[in-house]
Amino acid sequence: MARRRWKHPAMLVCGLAVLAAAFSPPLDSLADRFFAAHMFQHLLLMFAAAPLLVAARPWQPEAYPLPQAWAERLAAVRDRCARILRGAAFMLHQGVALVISTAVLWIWHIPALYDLALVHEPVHVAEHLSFIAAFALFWRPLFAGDGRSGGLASNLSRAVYLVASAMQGSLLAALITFSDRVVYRAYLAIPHPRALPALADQQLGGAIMWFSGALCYAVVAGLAMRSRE
Amino acid sequence: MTAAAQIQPERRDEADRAALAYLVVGFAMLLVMGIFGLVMRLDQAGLWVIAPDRFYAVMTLHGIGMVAASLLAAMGGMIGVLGGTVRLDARMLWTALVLSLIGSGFVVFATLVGDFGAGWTVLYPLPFDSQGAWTRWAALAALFGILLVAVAFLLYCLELLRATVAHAGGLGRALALDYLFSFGRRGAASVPSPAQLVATVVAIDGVVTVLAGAVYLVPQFAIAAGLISGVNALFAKNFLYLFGHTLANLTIYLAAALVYATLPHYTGREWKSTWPVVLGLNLVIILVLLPYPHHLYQDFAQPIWLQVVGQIGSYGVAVPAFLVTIIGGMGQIYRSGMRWQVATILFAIGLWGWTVGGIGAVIDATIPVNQIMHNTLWVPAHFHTYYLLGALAFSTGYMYHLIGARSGGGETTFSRAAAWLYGLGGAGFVLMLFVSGGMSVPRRFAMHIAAWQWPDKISVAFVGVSAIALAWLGGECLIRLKAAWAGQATPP
Repeated sequence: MARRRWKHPAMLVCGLAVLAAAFSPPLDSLADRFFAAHMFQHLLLMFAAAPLLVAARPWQPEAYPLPQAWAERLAAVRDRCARILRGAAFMLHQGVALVISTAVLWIWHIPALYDLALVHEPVHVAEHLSFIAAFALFWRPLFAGDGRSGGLASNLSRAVYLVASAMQGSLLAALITFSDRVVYRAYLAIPHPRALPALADQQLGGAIMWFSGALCYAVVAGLAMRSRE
Repeated sequence: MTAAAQIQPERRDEADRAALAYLVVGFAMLLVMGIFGLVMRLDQAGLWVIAPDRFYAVMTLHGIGMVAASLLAAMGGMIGVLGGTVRLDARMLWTALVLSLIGSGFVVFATLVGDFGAGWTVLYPLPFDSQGAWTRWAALAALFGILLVAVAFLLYCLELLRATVAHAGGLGRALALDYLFSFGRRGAASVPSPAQLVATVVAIDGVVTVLAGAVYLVPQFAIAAGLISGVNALFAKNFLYLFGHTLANLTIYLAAALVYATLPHYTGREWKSTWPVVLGLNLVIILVLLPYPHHLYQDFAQPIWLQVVGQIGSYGVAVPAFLVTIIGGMGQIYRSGMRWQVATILFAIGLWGWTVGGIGAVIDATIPVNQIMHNTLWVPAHFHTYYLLGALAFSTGYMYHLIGARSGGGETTFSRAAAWLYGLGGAGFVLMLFVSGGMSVPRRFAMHIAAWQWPDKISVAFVGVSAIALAWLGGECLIRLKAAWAGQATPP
């Protein structure tokens, strides 16, 4: 029982650690220069930090080993926030979450917007925050328990949800990987080493997004499916 | 209390639903991949010409996609058949399905977006030596997709093996070895059903097959990563065919098990695990691994003993298939008073297809014949016969049976006519491929000269008949799917 009490805090710490790693200087500065590093950073945000933070259930202070008074105070804050955000509750629906996460992913990969984010830091921050938020919404139904609590109720719905998301992500990654020209022209202005010219960097980035993303979906499938529905 | 009665209805429901998901997804993939096959035949017939590069990408997708789809459908059928008696873990089954679909997506995008066109064999060193026809990433994506499908099949096989062994109380009992080696004097009461035996046999061979695939695929990734410069091409080809050929064969064994379990519902006769059946299915564990060298007869560097193994193995594996499935199936039907319904029509077509396709395979596996026929359309003729008219007919028949049983829906004269037309169209299609093979028309040619095109044109018409019939049956299943999903568990 005691170990279960530490499960959610441990996930929260892991999620925050992944966020710290994603925004730490070595990776962050590489991500500014190389598309591949940038895609790896995005993967950390969408496929590691976001699901860990969701699985940590920070909205349930009762699940944390906190003093009773603190837990009650946090629960009150949560309830107040829930009342304020009542109008946005529709976003918790699985279908809406899938559409939002897909839209956010594709919109930020439109060349003009991507290049804008690369040269304007506030836009870049907005991009990263939207990735974390959209994919937190996306992962929630898989880890939120049964249908009554807004989770996906059956293995079929979990499978359809995961495969639909994996396919759209694969298509985007394949289009980037197989493009025979540099799609994100901002990288043409950044000097690249001879061993990794801009086009090869783009292909590597697309492949990282595609292959690693698929592995993440596969791992999540193993975790999210139930032996008994 | 029987073993079947020990399964709770809700567990049976879970198995049926997983089976439906596999069957429906596999069937839908088969229809889509069939359209790509039609595009190839239209191109070869000169009726709708596409660029050669595009043809090879389509050929690659059609080949890999059809194997993956047939495998999925047969896997689903086996889940449905076993679910009444053996406790399967839904988590493993659904994870394998998701993994398999993600892997299939890789192949779709590698071929349609990345123009990967090395064929379903993805034979080394072709994937990474395309002379600019596709990128290294396209090859990697296709190989990675195949790896994911293989891993999904491995998960499925491990679950099948765990479940059948746990149900029987040990691997020896799951294979009825005591009964086998005592010549039927001991252990008769605890012999698993033929479908359970097939499940254990396929699971064992499936693990071996995926390991063979890993021996081929892992070095390809190492080459792509620059860790090694190359591998022995003959070594790679042996393992590739041990993987691919055996996987294709296991699909048919899985599909045949659906007939063992379902045909008795219609004939009223039990399909027993008699001593010859137990012997035949146990022999399959070894025999199914042996025929693959018949794809390497023209590789002069291949050791002669492996060529001989290929020929003997190809002949040998036909014996249990013929005795257990063909003779057993005909024995079930003969004078049983069975009514011809969609499922039984498709099972009968499947028995016919497996027989004719098997004879075609045995002919091609004969070394002197193979030297002349192997690179002609004779080879696609034989594998289309036992896939289209064998494995697919069995799986579709079972899907129709399962959906009908769970939804309570009946069938019409049109349904039965569609089932016969499917067989007629399929038979005409493969006959034209055999005719082309007899004319020594080379296979894997994007463009055919005018003299080769008349069988191509006739085959297009037959494909159309088959496709319409299959779409009709698929449409009926789709209409009843919701009711079947919510319906009652099928009787074990």
